[in-house]
Amino acid sequence: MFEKINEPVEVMVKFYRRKVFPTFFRWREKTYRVEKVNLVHHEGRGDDKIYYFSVSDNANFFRLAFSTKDLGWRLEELYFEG
Amino acid sequence: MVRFILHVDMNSYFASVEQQANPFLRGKSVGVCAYLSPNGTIIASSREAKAKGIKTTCRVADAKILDPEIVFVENEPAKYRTVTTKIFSILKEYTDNFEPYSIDEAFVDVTNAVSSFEAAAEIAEEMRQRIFSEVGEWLKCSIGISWTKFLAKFAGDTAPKGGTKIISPENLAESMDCPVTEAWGIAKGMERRLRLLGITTLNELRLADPIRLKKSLGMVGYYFWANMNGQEISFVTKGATPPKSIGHSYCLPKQTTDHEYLDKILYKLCEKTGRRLREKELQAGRLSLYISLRSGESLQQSETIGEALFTTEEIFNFVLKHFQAMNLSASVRMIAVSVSRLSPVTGQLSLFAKNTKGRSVTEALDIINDKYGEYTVIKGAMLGTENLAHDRIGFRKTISFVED
Repeated sequence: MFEKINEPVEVMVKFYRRKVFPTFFRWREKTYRVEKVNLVHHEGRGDDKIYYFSVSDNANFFRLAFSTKDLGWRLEELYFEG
Repeated sequence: MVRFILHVDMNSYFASVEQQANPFLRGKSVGVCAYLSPNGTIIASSREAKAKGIKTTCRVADAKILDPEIVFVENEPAKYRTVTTKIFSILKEYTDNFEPYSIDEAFVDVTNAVSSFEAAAEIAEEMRQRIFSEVGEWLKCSIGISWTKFLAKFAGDTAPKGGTKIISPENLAESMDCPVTEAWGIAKGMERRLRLLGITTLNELRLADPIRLKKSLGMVGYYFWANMNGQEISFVTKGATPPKSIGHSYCLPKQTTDHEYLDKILYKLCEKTGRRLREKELQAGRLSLYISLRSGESLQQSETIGEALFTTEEIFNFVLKHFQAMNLSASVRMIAVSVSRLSPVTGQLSLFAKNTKGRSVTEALDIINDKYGEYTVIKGAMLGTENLAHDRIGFRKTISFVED
């Protein structure tokens, strides 16, 4: 089931082979560990470029968005079974 | 000289990209839709959905009947374009004779890299493995290999999903033992015309007299014969071929004859068309308007314009003139606007064109919208259309990539 969230989150990332991988993020006072980065894509919005990280843990899918303009992270979307 | 051409075709592409992004969708029926409303159309279905009879163009409401568990996802062009860019950048590493054919298909001429079909098949397998490991493990592709573009695509279209098929001179006859509609470019209408000539299979077309075919069907008849016999008509071009037309269509969420509502949508479609035209630094010499009515009837008008079209206003004024002259006997279901006879904008345009002021304003608005985001500044005619006619991706030849 998809749920639109669109809330700011704190994200910890690692850099590996010139790529960025979110590893943990904190949302609504809970810390989530990213088990897998499934896909990264980007989109231009004017002179801002947003990077979208489609990530998952064992139970949920999350879509994290990073704005290269304000350097902020947002949790845009959540999907869970059921 | 024998050529070795690969046709790479991503399987169930948009749906596979969605399943790549969200692993919880894997193994499920997924329908990627232009719009999620019951009348919305599925533009790509996952392998699992196809197995249940849910195909492209199936309506959302009908798909739910076929599989109540189906998950619908609204299409996201930026996602598919990014993935396509990644895949194509891998394919381009093998040759500079690379031609993107659509968002999920490309021709790769590896003649300079291999000397046999078997070696070409090894490259195909390597490409497949690299897509798997570098882009996504859920992304599968069929690869056709032959010595002409047509035969490579035919091999790709008839290859097993996720597999490779070679059509060589040795197995050409065996490969062509199928109905004519299996071939790229032969639809029901042409099938009927060929049947009148006693041709029902591709082998019969291959062995037909080319002079008789040309006499009966025109040049297209000769092209069919040449394609079936492995004679190259169009070589793999380096890079995407320039567009012949640019346009946008929209299936209306509210079907109506209300001109106040329809004119706004028409303007937005003209703006989207104009933006893409100007982004490619082109101007147009012809425009077309297509209206589909709820009754099933369709209305169409085209006009060749003396002066080149460049601004949204220029396009809209002509389109509106034709739209107002149309008799809307039923609610409008779909509107499509397109411009063609494209040519590069020259420096002379601003010197001799009549509408120089309008063009300067348009260029200024484009600069603002490029910097601050689409529709930051809009014309009053477009007010209230924020949630209508979003960015969509076409089925075919629309190729627009962002190079990383």
